[in-house]
Amino acid sequence: MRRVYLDNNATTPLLPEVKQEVIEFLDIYGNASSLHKFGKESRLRIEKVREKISEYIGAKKNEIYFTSGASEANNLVLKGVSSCGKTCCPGKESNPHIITTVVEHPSVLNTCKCLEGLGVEVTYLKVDSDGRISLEELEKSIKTNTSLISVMFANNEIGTIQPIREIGLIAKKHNIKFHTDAVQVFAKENINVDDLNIDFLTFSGHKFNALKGVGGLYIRSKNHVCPLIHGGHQEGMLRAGTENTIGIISMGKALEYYMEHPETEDKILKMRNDLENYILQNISDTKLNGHKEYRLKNTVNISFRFIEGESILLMLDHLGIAVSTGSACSSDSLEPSHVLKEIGLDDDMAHSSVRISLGPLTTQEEIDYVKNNIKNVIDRLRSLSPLYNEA
Amino acid sequence: MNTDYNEKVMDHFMNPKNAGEIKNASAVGEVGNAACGDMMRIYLDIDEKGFIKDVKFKTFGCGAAIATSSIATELIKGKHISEARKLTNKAIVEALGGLPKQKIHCSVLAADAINKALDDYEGIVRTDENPIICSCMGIDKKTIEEAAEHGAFSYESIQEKTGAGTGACKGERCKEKILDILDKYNC
Repeated sequence: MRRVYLDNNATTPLLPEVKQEVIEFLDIYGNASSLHKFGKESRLRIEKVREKISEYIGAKKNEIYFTSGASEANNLVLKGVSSCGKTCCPGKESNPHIITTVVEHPSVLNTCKCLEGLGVEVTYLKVDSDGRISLEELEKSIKTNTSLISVMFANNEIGTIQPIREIGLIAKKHNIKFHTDAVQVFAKENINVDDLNIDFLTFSGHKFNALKGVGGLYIRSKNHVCPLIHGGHQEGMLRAGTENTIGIISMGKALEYYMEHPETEDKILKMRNDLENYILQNISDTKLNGHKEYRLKNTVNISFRFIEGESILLMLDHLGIAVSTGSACSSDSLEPSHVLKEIGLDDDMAHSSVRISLGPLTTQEEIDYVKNNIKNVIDRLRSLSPLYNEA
Repeated sequence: MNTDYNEKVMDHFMNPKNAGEIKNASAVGEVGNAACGDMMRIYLDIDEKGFIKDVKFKTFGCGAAIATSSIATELIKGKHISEARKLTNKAIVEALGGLPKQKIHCSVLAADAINKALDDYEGIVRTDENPIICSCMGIDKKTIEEAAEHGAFSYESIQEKTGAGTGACKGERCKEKILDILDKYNC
């Protein structure tokens, strides 16, 4: 059966080039901390990737720290900044205040909830119907003890990109550190941490066609954070544990691919727009979720009124087309997506949402396959719906 | 994310039986609402002897909601209304060969929709003397009361004995209602 993968915001397939590189270096097993040639082979590879990543975001090589992924990186920065002066990390002890948003990834939101239990103050900024925060609201939320602003670069569900440059300027003006969870844009957009006044930046390998279980955090050099994982001296004593050499190598190769193929993003955008226009023009009673302009080039999130997302997902899956939904019925918690609720979507429209996310391996032929089938799926489900005839 | 629908559930979802409407139906029953993610409407055509000649459904909801509607209509088609009354959500789940735990409430909804249509036919207006308390697990008020009558006086023991409050929402929607019922037994 035909298989079309359009859930790249959840995770991505390995690029063939990355897979080749991984296979080639599977035999590199030396511990990067060892002084012999086996160790040095690994060390050399790891440091090359560190350099590549630092060049990409305009940072210094020693400001890149590898972790097990984005969830760890987000935990590291939020908990690490909050515990400054209290645990092993030097700094002035304080009762910090963190400003974040209501549409963050659970690895930020749930970490903040945990920190609130430890006495950290947290402000959750609301978003407008497109999913963007208000800069005015942000500035008004700043307190004398605000130590960190954490705002995601772009939202995974609706693709909305936040006003990162403006947030950076506000953070700088008030001398507050700025963290951004950049997993959805890393390798895909131009990012310069100096230009954007970013102090911490989270990235994750499997969101840009590298292996799972590896990611990292950029930490501007003058900043202190307390480690989550204590142990050996790896990663500048900030993240103990023998390096995930093969994972790091995979990220290096994937980033290299993106750098060498700058046309990829425009190709994706063209296909995304083609599909989006087809759906909006040929299927009635739809609503595009997320910002029209400030949006990830690969993401389209649409609500199909009168029908429920899980049933759409299942029927598309039956045709080999993989997408995702914000409907409660597809989650174990039976709670609809917090992002769709926060942009003010009515519950029935949140239940009706489908996210389609493209990647560098997506082809126009695959998009055509979706175009040839999606209307039929929507029509079939609507013919079953008690709500449809009433419209 | 629920990926464990069995083949029978998938078949009833992909090829639902008795989907549609009946014009001038003898009775109609509707339960749920779109905001909650599930809504079912059952149409019955009943002959003068009380047999269900035809039945159709329209459902807004997930795969399980559509599959339970489909099989429930099959289970009552051609039956006498007194037989149809006996259809339980358990029988619907069994006929489908099982449902994921967090989807049991769809079977409750399907059984409710049929009962509501039969109420419509018989002109019964209910004041809901035995409502479902835990909609995740499909546990009604009587079951909880019976458990309480047999010594389950605490929320935890109700969970253990009846399964109420142990579903997908972990009691978020029913804990207070259960505590209210238990209040009667804890004096």
